[in-house]
Amino acid sequence: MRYLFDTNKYNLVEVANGIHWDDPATQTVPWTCRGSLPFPQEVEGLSEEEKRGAGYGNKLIDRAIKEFKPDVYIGIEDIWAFNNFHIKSWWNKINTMVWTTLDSLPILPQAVEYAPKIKNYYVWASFAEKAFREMGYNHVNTLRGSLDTSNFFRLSDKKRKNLRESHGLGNEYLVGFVFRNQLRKSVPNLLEGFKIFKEKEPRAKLLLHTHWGEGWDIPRMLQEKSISAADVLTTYICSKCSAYEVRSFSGHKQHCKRCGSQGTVNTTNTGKGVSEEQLNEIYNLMDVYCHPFTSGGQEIPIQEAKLTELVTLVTNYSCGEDTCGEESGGLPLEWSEYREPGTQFIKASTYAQSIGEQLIKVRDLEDDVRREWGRKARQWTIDNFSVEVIGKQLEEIIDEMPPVDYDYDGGAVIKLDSTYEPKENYSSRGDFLIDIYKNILKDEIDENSQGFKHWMGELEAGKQPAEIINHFRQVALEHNQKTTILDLSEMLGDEDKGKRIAVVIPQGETDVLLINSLLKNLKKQYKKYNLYIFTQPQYFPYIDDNPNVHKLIPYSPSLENPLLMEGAGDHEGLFEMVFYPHTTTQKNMSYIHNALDKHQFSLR
Amino acid sequence: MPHLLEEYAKNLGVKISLPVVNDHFFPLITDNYITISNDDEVESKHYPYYDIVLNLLKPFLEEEDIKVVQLGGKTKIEGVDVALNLSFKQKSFILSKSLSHVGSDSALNHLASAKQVPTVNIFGNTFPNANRPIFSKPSLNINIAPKWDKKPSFSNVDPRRQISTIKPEKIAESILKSLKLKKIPISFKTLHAGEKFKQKVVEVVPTSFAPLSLPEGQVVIVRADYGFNEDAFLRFCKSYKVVVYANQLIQPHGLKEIAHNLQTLFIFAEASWDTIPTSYFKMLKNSNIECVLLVREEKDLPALRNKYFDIPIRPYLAPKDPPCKTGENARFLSEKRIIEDGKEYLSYAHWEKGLDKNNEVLDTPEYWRESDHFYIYESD
Repeated sequence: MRYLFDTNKYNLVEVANGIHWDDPATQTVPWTCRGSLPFPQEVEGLSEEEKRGAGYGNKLIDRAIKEFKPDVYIGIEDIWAFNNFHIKSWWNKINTMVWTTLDSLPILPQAVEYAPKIKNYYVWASFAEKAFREMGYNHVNTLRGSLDTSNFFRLSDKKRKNLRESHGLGNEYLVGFVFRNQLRKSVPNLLEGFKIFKEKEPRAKLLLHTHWGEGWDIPRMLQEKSISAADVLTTYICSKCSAYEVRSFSGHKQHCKRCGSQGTVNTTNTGKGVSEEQLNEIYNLMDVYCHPFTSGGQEIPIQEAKLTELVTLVTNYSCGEDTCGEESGGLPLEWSEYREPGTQFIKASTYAQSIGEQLIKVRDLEDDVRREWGRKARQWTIDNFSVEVIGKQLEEIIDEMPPVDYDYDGGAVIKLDSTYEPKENYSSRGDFLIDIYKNILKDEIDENSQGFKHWMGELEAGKQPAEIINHFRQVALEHNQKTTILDLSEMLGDEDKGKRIAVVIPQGETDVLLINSLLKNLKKQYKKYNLYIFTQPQYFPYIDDNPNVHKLIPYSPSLENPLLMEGAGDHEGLFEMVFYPHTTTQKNMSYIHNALDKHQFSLR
Repeated sequence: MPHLLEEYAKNLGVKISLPVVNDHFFPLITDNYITISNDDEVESKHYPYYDIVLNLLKPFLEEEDIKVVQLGGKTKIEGVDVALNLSFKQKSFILSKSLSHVGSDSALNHLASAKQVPTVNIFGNTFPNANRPIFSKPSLNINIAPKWDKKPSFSNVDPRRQISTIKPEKIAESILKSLKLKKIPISFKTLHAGEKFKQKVVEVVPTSFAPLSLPEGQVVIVRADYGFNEDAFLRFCKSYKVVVYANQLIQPHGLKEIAHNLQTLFIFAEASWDTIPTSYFKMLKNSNIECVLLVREEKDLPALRNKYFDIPIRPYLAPKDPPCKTGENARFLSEKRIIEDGKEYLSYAHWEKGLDKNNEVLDTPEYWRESDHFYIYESD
């Protein structure tokens, strides 16, 4: 963002996840910024999937597009964050680009599914690009994540020596690993490899810069593998004074030697970590960097270590393929394949023997050769990951995009076409499926799509095309109904703002007719208000002659959110009053009482 | 009372008035009619015996020259004068001139009540108090519900099919009452309604061939176990989609000729038979013919099931106790026919005794064995 901002060529708008639209944090960046997180009342009643989508900005991105009218949209998120973006009305009207991390093979089916729908598709590591190309998606390219290379560098030999001494280190041979303590980081393999190395290099110590309170139970594993706890170091940091110390693990909530605070010192973690400057020092304590993992999207510590001119040992799989070669100043770690239960993804189990052997190889390098490798590693990282390089690539991608001619006034979501009549003849079943996907569901698919495979299987099993068409039409109808609320505020306009009452009665000939009989008195009760009735279109005839109906609008499940409809907090709502008479009769039939209850009201 | 409309009135906080629906004109050649509707989509509200109701009403309606107009339901009810597929507002117009409306509880019943048309309301899945028409005075509305086995199902489906326990004579009498036509009871008493009474079954005994007049899609059951002539058998099997019952194995070369029409082959197997070779069943499977072995003696079942482990084996119709007491006036209806030599019989017992064109109840074990298919009644 800073690179693009410095070019003075673009008006930049950041839509930031995790904060609300007008969060004060949006004012802390030099460009325009808005939060994409809806208020809790706006997501009440949504399904879990929809709530997850809202967390990724699915709800408010439409508002941002409409308000800021961008020529280019760049989505930098996990691929599942873009669920159903392809049916947003603006998706194919402006220049859209998705820049996403993928970490395993085979490529996540959802990511493959989106390939035909995303014109500018970028992944962070070349293994993913290669896999896409093998499937025929030649438009998928690699654009790596960028690093501020000025933060990490090799300190002078003198400074390094002093630094070591300040942490009680002398001529130990320090193997380092910077990571979040997650199961995908191969800690057991590393410990086993370190043990092999230790037998050859008695000076060896292992620095695990991570939180020892989550993920792998490192102390237990050290015991299991008969590795001396004194040979394994970690980073402690004080949450009060931010002083850090590298030493062997001795528990959490320790006292700070520097500021004297009680119970404030813990191993570094996501709540309290070291600064970039401190992290640079920690890399400079190391003699070699070793990063074994099952899979990963980019693994930034590898690049940081290279910038400090360390020789890096990296598992030769996933994004590691890009950073373990000799041209990058690294050495590959060999691995064996296992499959992740559930996803069936290929994951790497790094050979301990390979870790041990490569560590020995690095130790045995002549000093000047090792320094040369380190310099090469730094230059390679600058050439491939620096903000300047990646920013320039991004700048070129944006500048090559065509001009946009779009009025930004359409509804947020495109309407699907349940009325589409398929052709009489198709050259193949595949053509038939691609055609009805495109024209009914407005979805670009190909033979790699999960939907394509599913329906092809159904056709081969004897399902009639007419049945599939009917199913697609039903999906289209439901989608159109469900997304009505998104357009509701536009539909209502400002004319009778503050004077609206809604009655939501989703279905039932009888139910709608009975509600019809109550509208005369409802209008009498609220003379200055307009009555809006929401029901499914097939029930319109049961109420549309009533003169007290101001507007009859198709029902959508998204209306079932009283706080969104009536307003809450900063959201002023769309109606002054919303009635949900079906709550006790259709949603939760709680009025029957075995036909025994009585009331004291005069209802006639 | 937990009435649906009162629940809505309480929710909106207002009193009940009348619904506003503008009638759309639809021409009818008579203005002396009652209206009827059935619910074909909600199984628990579908009443299966309206045809009997109309048959009972026929003499009274003819005497008064009252026609029956069907307004709801996808399937035409046997006995109506006209079945109309109309919009809701056209139905509203027709209803407004109706002498009485009868039907499962629905919007039409409420609309009739709003138009002060007398109603006969049939309830299948809820208490009448919860949804009876209330726009007109109670005396204009007759509400009929089953004697609930335990509780209504309050659902679109009712495994007990409780609505079927409402007797047609009760509905017919209620319609006459709503028309203020007759106070004397209808001379018809339901004794037994078999669960499969509405299933249309056509069985032929293949001793001679004569073409059949069948509704579209009707499968013919060829009872080679009742009588057999090879030529007639083959002609039936070649002319219609068939299910075959046989006392012996049909030879493979014969099966090849009819395999395209043969859906299921039921073979009466006996414990004393030599083992049927596996290749025979394989041949049937390869020809897409389902094979089921039937056993007349229940005691033979375990041994035969062990012998033919992979083949479905079922007991044939077990003997049944009479479901009701019957007298001389007892008659029955059945949708099942046994046809031989152009003659039609209503039951196996009637076929066995050569009683075609006869609907008297036969008090024999063979008759009661098929009682699930019968609607038995007494009438003067």
